[in-house]
Amino acid sequence: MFDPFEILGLEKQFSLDIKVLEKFYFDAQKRAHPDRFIGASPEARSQALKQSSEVNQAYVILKSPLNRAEILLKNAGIEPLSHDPLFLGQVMDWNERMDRGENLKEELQKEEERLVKDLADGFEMQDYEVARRSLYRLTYTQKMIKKCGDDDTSSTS
Amino acid sequence: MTLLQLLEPGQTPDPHGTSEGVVIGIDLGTTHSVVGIVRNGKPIVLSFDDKGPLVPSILYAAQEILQVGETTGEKLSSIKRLMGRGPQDPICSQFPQVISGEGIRLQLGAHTFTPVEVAAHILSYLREQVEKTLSLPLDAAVITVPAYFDEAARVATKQAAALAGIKVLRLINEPTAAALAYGLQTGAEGIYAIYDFGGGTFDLSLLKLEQGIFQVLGTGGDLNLGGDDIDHALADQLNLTSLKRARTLKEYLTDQDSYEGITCADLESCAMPFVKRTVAITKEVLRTANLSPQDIQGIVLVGGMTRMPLVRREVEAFFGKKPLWDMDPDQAVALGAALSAHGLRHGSETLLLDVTPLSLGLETMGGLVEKLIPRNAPLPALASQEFTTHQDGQGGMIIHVVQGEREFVSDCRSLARFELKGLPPLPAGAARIRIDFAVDGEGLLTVSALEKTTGLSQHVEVCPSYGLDEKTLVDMILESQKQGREDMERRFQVEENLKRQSR
Repeated sequence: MFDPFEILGLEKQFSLDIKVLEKFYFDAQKRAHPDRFIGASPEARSQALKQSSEVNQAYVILKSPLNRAEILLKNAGIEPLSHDPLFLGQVMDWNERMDRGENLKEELQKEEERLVKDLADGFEMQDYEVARRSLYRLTYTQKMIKKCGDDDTSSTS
Repeated sequence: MTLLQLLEPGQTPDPHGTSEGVVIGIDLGTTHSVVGIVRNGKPIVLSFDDKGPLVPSILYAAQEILQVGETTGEKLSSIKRLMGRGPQDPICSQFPQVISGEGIRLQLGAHTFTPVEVAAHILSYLREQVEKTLSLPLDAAVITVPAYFDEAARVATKQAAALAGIKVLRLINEPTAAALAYGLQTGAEGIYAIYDFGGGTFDLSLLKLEQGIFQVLGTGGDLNLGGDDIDHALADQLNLTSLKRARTLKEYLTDQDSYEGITCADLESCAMPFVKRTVAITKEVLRTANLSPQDIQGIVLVGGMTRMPLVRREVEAFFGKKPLWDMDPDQAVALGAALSAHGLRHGSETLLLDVTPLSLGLETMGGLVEKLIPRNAPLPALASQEFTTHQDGQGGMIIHVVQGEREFVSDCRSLARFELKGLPPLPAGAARIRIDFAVDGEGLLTVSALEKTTGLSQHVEVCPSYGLDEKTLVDMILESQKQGREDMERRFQVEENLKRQSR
């Protein structure tokens, strides 16, 4: 079973400073990258290719708080939330305002930040109900942010 | 899991032990090529026969003997633009020497050459010059390619090196090489944009430089956007018959306001659309990497076109800061390649972490693309996906590997097609075929297929013979965003139809 935390030698917890992640990632690549095996045997080279690819995969997964939360919930045997009526009202409100041409990017980004914090608190307290609800909402919010990004063609930065 | 033996960084074993040969870096450019080497820990470029470090990437014949260099007579030039392309590619219209046929062949006197053969002659010439100048045999080289070179062009470059008898340690991307030269010589840290505008191609890469790590955060470009295009536009505008004359004019007008009645403003109005396109690509790469111009610590300019004041003005206006101008834009890539070659051969703390320029995927039912490895994925990368048969007793399966960002095969670039034969007679949907993609550190793809119930397997090195057609890669990406929604709708419909048929 592919466990990105294990691959990079990181502790299985939600809170992860990007700087720490990068340090573990870079250190793992310094050992595993095929460039370190230029003159080695074909077997060692193909092993390096596999290992280095797994390190990359683990890094890409762990970079996203969403993916980290999903893995940790799965490991804890918690089913993902399937609906959230309270939040649905909020999403409908956002959609209506966006249809009216309002740009919600900033508001949504603030919401995203808040939800990541809720998610972190949920894991910290081992309150998986909070964690899975925040994860559900975060997934939606990020989709909405992406929608803003696509429509927002005029901005330069 | 088997335990892998790891070597200390810097302990990469030398396969030749006591090898006396030299390792070099080669910038195999569209208009000229440059060779770099590390001497006493410092990278330098080599000059041959007092002609300076820039060797024209031009092949000609003098009394039936092939020569590399500038000539007034019949010649083959800018062939880098044809690497990995097919004869139907519109780029061929810029090459009057192309003879129609199955693959591209170029006429020079009584002989014809493939683009790979022309590149091989240039590489051979460089090898001979290096060996003559240093009185040492050439051991191996790092060769640079545009970051946006696709599979076909990378494979073609490696083939050319093999034909020239040069062992390739690794291909590296030109902007990455430039970043290496800049970073290792200045100790710079932070996020840098490498703006590489050369004779034939444009590349923009974002790199994070940190303690010997060169991590590519994103890359984009256009294989059909370079100084050559500005020469063509200028020649058209002024009704010039000679491209060389257009190029000379362009170079003169870089340093002075007018020349023979043609002003700098004339040149700039010709060049502007091309420069604007580079800025649009730059913007797009930043957007994809979730970065804004303010996040960029510095801009490193590479390629001869960045000498043009217009280019520097536009880059400065976009980023809101002056681009760095302390490296020779013609030499940065070769210097970086030399550092890379030296590091790979003798061991180094430096590590390059590059990415895929375009998504890689497979054709599935209804002409849809299943992406296995996304664009800008860190390399090396492995991915696998299981497929099944569509009909009862289906004995074979076509595996079609494509590269591009669109949802439909017809809009992507076809890389390879092979058939998995001898599948066991099973009801539709019962066979389990696993397809594995492996992209190595230099961006070369290997595909293998395995039928799990019988263990039947096939393995192919992707070795495409044709290049992208009409659309340039960047057009394909921009198009994919525009078309994204439409594609999704079409995809949905096709999937619905398939579902209905299978009921």
